[in-house]
Amino acid sequence: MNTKEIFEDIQGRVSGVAGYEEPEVGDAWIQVDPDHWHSVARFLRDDDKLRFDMCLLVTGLDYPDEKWVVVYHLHSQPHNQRTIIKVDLPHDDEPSLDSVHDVWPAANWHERETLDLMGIQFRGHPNPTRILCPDDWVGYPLRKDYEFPTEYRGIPYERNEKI
Amino acid sequence: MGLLEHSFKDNIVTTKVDWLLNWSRKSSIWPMTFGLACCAIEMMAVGAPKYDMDRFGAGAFRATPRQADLMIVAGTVTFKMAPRVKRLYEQMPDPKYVIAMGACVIAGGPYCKYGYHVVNGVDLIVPVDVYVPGCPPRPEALLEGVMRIQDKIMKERVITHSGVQAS
Repeated sequence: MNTKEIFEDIQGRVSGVAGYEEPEVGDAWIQVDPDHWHSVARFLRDDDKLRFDMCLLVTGLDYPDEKWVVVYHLHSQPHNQRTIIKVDLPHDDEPSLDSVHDVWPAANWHERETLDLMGIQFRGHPNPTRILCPDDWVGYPLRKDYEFPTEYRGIPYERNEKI
Repeated sequence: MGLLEHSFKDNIVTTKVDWLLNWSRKSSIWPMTFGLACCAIEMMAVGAPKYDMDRFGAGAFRATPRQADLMIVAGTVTFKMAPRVKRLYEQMPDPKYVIAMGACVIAGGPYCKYGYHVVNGVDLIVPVDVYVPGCPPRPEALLEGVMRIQDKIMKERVITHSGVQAS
C-alpha cells in the first residue's frame, strides 16, 4: 500500500486522521490531529493490515508564526511498506505533544533530540532531557528565531583576530 | 651494526646535555589516544604500518593523558567537548605539545559562521604549537606536523635557561 491507500484505509477506522497531502515534489504524508496522535500511533502499530512496527525517525519543523510540525517516518517490516505522519501544533513558545515512546521504543531518543534542537515537549516522556547539546545549553538551536550565544562556559563564540 | 661493532676501543663521547636531552625527548613523543571526528581516521592511518608514525618515535599512543607528551586534536571540537579537551590538556605532564589537526580545529572550518555548536579554533581553549591544515590533512601532513614539533623540541634549552619551556 502507498500512503494514499493507507490513508483511505484508516480514515474511517480510527479517529484523529485529519487529512492527506501530496506535494508536487517529495513524499506524500498523512496529517494527524495532535489530540488523537497517541491512539492513532497504537492503531498503526497493532492493526493487522498495517503493522508499522518501526519508527524510523522523529523530527520537527518550524514554520514561523504559523505552526510547529512533528514528522514521523514509519516502516512496516511484515508488509515492507513505509509512510510519513505529520502532526501540526500551534506556533506558541511551549509546544507539546503526547510521547509515543511506549508505542515505539526507538522514538525515545528521537523525541529527546526533537526537544533538544526544536524545543517541542513530549508529554509522558520518561527522561525529557537534552541529548546532543550540553545540559546547560540555552535555547533551541534549530528554531528559526534562535539567537547564537556569545560565549559558552567562558569560551568566546567568535574569534576577535584573524589567524 | 656491522660497521660499528669493534670499531672503537673504550671511549668517551662528548655532547651538549641540552642536545642529548632534546634528542632523547624528540625521539619518544608519545601522543594521546584521542580523536574527535573524521581527522582521527587519518591520524589512525598515520599510526598504521603504511605511514608508520613509529619511525619518528611517536607511535606509542598512550591511553591516559598522564603518560602523553603530545595531544593531537584531531576533529571538530564542539562546545560540549571543549571543557573535556581542556581538562585532558591540563592532566598531561609538562613538557607538553599540541597539534591542531584540520580546518575545524584551526578555526572552526565549515562550521565557522553558521555552526552554533563548534568552537572556532581549539587555540581558544589550549595553546597550540603546530597547525596542520587540510580537511582532513593527508597523513604525510600530520607526519610533517610531528617533525615540526621535533624541530621545536630541538630548539629548547632546558638546562641552560633555568628550565623555562619555550612555547
